[in-house]
Amino acid sequence: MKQRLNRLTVAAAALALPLGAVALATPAMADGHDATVSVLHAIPAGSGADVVDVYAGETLLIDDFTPGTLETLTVPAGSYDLAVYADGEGPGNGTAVLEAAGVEVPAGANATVTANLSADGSPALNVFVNDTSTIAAGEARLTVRHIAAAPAVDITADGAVLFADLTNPNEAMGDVPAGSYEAAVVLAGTDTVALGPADLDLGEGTNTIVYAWGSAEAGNLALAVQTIDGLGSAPAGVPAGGGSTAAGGVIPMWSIALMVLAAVIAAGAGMRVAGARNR
Amino acid sequence: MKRPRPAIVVLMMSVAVLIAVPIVVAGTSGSSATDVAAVGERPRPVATEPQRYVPGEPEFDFQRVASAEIRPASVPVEVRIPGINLTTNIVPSGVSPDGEAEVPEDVMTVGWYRFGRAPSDTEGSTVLVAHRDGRVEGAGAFYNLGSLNVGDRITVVDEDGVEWPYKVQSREAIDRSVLPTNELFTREGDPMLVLISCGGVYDRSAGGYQDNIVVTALPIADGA
Repeated sequence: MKQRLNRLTVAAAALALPLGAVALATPAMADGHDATVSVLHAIPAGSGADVVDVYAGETLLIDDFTPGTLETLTVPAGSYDLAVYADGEGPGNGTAVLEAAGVEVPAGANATVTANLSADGSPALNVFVNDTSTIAAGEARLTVRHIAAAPAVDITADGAVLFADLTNPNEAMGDVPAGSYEAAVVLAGTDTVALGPADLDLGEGTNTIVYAWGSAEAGNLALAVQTIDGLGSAPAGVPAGGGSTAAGGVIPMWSIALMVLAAVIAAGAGMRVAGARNR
Repeated sequence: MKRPRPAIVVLMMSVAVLIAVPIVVAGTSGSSATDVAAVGERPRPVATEPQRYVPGEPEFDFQRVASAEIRPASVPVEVRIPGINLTTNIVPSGVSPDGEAEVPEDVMTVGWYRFGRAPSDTEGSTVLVAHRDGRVEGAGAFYNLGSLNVGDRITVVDEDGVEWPYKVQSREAIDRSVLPTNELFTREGDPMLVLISCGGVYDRSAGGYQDNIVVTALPIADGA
């Protein structure tokens, strides 16, 4: 995947950011006992979950959570029973809209829980593990997650497919040279653009996670962006030796010029010798 | 009938010269060494103390993590080092395919590691790299980096015209193969300026200079 991406990005490009993209940066680290958990509200407004409260067991985790927002929390490692309630309701007085029991959150983990629509448009909770492994110097990581009520999509870059046939609730990921890309989300195997194209800036040492959410049928597909930075590494060294011509024993221009000059003189001398002999 | 022979002589003479000249050239540029004694002490990045979770108290110690603000750095465009009579341009440089930092080909141009910090950042290293010299061009921007002394002043000017003054904190030669890039290119800790070039023994067969000359400098209040 990585090599393929690298090749494709020479041609150029990446992901679109149209309608109300949400950009949030979160630190990558948690200590040995903690985990980092982000929660993304990706159920479009008007689906009966416009304002919700998120609980872990009996504890209110996020109050008044609205569509398109992302909250990042540092939590102790452990097993969590997550539940989403309508605003003002909770474990004591109401029925959960969404529930996920026994979500394991290991120490040091970095995960994102999404409340979203399934492919057929019903509410769902999904847990994604965010890749926080070290990224090579000069590179960036792109993760794309399909959590929209929409069919399979391709992520394209200048018409070239970066990630093919991505379906809800799956993800695709790769490391690419850091930089600005232009890309789009299209219906799989077609040229029909679902989102974009637009610019996406992939920062060095950063995992940029793009969520395609909403509903194709309702015409409210959108992108949310989560970034996890601090994953970069230093370059391997500094080859500041003797200028570009000294590195690797390349013969400098002036010495080549001297050689050519000498060869010409020698040839000229040879010609004269030859000429003299002929006479 | 005799014509082929002069042609061969011409060819042989040309070939002989083609072979001889590079040998002479190579001979004049054998091993040489630049002695750079270490002075001062390079600042070591201090790891930020991670937050500790104490099991059992409170039952759920949920803590919201503040969103980090992404702020575009103000790109440095010029460096002035009066102590070595240097005023030269800075260009952004990145990483080459082999994973090493890119160094501008023009030996008089200084590269700013664009994936690292900038002088306007409140933490981490601003790293400037340049060749020591070029065999065609002669002395490069950082040719005399090794003669800087503790306390010498360095000014970096950014694209907004803001001058960032620094004072040299340390100078040393470090074997190129063990350059502590993680420390020198750190994005964390107190802000510092790091200048890197080459020096030490020049071994052409081993890729040129065997050391990196590393100068660190700390920001000073304006006018200090």
